[in-house]
Amino acid sequence: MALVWGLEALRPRNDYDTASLPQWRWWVMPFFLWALWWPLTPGFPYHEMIGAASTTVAGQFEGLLYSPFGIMAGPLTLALLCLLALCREANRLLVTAFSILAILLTRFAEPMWWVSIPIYPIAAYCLAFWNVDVMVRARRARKSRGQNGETEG
Amino acid sequence: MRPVTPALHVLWALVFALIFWKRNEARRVFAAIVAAGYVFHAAMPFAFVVWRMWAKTGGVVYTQDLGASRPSSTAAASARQCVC
Repeated sequence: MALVWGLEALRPRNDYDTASLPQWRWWVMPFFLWALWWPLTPGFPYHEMIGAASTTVAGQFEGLLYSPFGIMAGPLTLALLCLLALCREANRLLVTAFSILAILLTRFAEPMWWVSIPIYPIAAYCLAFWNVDVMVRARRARKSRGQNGETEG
Repeated sequence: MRPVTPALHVLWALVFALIFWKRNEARRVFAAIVAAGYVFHAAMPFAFVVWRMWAKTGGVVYTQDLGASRPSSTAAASARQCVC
């Protein structure tokens, strides 16, 4: 994940200009807001997740690593997927790799599996939307090239 | 609630605010921050294990069972500690 985002940092291809997006594309926004809001849910049993030894300095490190906020593994990965779904143009390699890795991450790195449930539909949406979009454009380009060839011939 | 984690969470909220505010002007910085975040997330458990071993607090036991009873701070100092 770091690698694909590092490549994006070196050669940025995502277009975050969301001003011209059609309204229906904003349907992921509730998931995005949920991803940001959820870890701050009051009354959540953080102490049970972090452990009884969390009052020590080591416990604070544990909270940093293994708390249900899951610094990157859980809700924030979902927020990033939502952001990719909101791009006007997206780096196809980044979207594809990140979506697949996000799903894999939920299997290996997220101790609370149910936290990851919203990641699956959003990752599937990102995969389908950007890849289908690219295929449709390629087909249109082939058609237009074919029509131009016919008119020229 | 541990004070450090909400602080990190607020930082991430600011990073997202940056990309929604500056959009493409900040996309390189945003991608670099996200990459650094994943590197941090991947590296910290190893650093944590090394730190634990260096501190000679005993062996490290990994467990996915978050519901298991945890050793108290005094017991953990003298025996094995769980990293869940």
